[in-house]
Amino acid sequence: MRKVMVSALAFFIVTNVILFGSMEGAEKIEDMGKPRITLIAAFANEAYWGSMANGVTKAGEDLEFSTKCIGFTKIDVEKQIEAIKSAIYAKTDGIITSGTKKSEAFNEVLKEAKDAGIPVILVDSDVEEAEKLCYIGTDNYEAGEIAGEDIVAATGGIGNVAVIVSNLEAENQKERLEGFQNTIKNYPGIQIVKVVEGNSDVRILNECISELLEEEEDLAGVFCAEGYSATSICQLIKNAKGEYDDLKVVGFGISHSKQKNIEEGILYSTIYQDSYEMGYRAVEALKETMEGKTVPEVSYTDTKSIKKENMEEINADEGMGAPWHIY
Amino acid sequence: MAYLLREVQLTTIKQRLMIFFTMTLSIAVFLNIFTVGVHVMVAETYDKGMEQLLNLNQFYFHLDELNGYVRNYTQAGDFDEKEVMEQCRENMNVFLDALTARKENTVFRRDITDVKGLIQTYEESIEQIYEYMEKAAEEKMEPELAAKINREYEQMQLIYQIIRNEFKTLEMEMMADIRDEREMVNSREIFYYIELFAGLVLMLGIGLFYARKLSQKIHIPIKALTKASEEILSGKLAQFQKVEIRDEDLDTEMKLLVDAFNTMIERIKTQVRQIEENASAKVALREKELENLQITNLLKTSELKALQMQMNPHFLFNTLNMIAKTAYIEDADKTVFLLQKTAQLLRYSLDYMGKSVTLAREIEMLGNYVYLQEQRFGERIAFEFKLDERFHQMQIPCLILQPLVENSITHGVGAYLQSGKIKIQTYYEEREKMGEISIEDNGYGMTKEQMEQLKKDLESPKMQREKIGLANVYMRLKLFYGGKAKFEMESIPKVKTKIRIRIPYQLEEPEKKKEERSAQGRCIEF
Repeated sequence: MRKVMVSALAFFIVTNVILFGSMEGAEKIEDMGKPRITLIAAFANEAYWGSMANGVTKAGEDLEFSTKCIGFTKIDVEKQIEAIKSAIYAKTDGIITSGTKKSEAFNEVLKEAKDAGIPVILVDSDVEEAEKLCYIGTDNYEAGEIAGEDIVAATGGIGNVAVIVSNLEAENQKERLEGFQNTIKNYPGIQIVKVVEGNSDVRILNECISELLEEEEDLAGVFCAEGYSATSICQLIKNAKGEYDDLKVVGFGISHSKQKNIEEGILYSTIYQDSYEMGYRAVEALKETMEGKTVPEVSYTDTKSIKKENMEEINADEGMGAPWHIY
Repeated sequence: MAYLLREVQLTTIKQRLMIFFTMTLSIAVFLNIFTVGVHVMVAETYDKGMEQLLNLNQFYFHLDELNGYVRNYTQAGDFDEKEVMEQCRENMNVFLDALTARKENTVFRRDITDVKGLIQTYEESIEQIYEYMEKAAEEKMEPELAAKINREYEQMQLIYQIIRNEFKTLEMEMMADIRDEREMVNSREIFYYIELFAGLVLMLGIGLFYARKLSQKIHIPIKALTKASEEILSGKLAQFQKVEIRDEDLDTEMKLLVDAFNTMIERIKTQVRQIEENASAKVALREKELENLQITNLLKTSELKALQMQMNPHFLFNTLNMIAKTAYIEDADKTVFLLQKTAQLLRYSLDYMGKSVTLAREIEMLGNYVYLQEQRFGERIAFEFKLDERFHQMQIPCLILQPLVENSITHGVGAYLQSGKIKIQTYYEEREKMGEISIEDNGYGMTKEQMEQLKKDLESPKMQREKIGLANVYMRLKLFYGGKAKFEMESIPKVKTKIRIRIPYQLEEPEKKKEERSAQGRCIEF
């Protein structure tokens, strides 16, 4: 009895000490003198950018950087430029952003960053003439080529195909189209009959696609060179109930709906760019720069075609959910 | 702690009480401090959140003010405003520093750091404008300078706008931080309550345990003492042994109490026993006195009888002496001798009546008597003495043996014409430490029935007075030795009758002498 009493008392005291100790522990100061990196993504509400933010955050944790991810509710170059400016004035130590369609203001702001001594890394799409540290991202030309191979394989090398891009002024869209054309050109049985601009706006896209399907009745395949259109087309195919079952669609980027469509066989394949790796490597490049090393001006991340058979190759980083600043 | 508790077993009730109160009190105090500490901490967390929100508001308030001054300064060139502006800037930075000093590693922290960077850029611009304005004041406002100032001002406004836009984000993030902190505190609160509850249970447990222990330590001895007291009160003092309690149930004070009680009872018992012994001794004494009275009575009776029988001894002695002188004149020597012996015998019986004599003296006088009887009976009776003189210093009542020998002659061999035999023997039995005197004759003796009758008669008091003889001797021996002397009779008609007296006697001589004596074997034969 006495032993029990004594041990109970001892336990009581020990737990008290631990509890009070944990209170103290909660107030430990974490060094906030880490260099600050800001990711300014073109767009926030997309898995592609989410993965990139995850990559940046993870790299920040691994390499001891303070990271911040800024995104926008829709693609808006002016807002993006303002965010970059804000980051420059805030004296951050590094900026990661994506190249936009041709814009003087964008190039200027990048110059301003260079003058302020802040390295800027472009991801996803490059702007060749802009002042930047380097480009890390998809070889869009290669991506187009891969998409071409997929269309050829899907259609058997015969038939009319269409390409849906967001904006032909966008560097990456252009490169993808070129790559695609370059592959198709080797197969005389296939012709590109139409290139549609959808502007990554769902309403415009749906109209364009409906129009396209109505105008080009003997369409054998569609290459969706930007993220949204593939999902829209798949939805249309499903709604048409068998009318367009022979239509082969190759998408771009990865998303839940795309994965589901691939599983159901409506989407033939999608071009997967590892945005997580882009983000991670961008931070790595910034670290190397700060350490005085030189980084290659252009470095490409993996691009591959995801079909039913190799779905497991997708980088599984969904659980991370890096915090966004959305403007 | 364990040491302390183990020690408790041997402590006093006072110490036990002290430990009990100290333990419960210390736990109570600890719990109180704990509770207060928790409350203070929770309150602090809430206060800190509130303060941070105020800081944020103050920062923006000062920023707005500063921006207003900057506008006035830049647009109107009001140099007097510069001082107020500097003051405002300083205040703003105080609040900003307070905000950046937050320890939590959160999104807010990153954003406020960015804001700090923005403010630095903003202040650099102010410095730049100062420089330009001073230059303008010194020289002349040139269009080029004005354009520079304008550009700088525009950039400042852009930064101001950016910071302004950040306000909502910062506020939301701070709110989220405060909420998280509160949640953390709340989530910990359950542990505090559990801890508090555990403490209370522990205190209650220890309290009950020690209260029970303490009351037991008092209750067990008291109960035992009460039970013992009841037992003694109901008159069972003699059977009562002592109050026994295991040592671990006793504290020092209680042990003292129980020991004292036991000692007291032991003493009472001893005294009661002594009183009882005294009482029985008194009874014995009274019995003894009664006996003595009887003896005196008896002696007086026998003395009177002797006096009656002897009439006037002096007259008798004188007559005997006159007869002896006459016999001497007539040359009757034998008669003279006989008369002298008779006189001696008579004197002995008169002098020592009622007194004790040594066995040796008694034997000597018996010799006189025997000589007289030999003269009377001549060849008809042979007397034989076989003596063991080792114990002849033993004291016996006088005239014990003469009546017995007389008895033997009268009732035994007196009627024999020849070969009557009387054997007188003394013997000391070393093993039983008894002196033995026996008188044996080969007279008519007694049958068994006669013997039984005689033994009965010996005990009846009538006989003692009627007959001076066997019964008188028996009674006197009994009284003199207090029943320790043995009087035995055995008889085979026409063969022998033997009376044996056995008296306990411790030889006084040392071992060595005794041995010498027995070696000499001094037996006298008449």
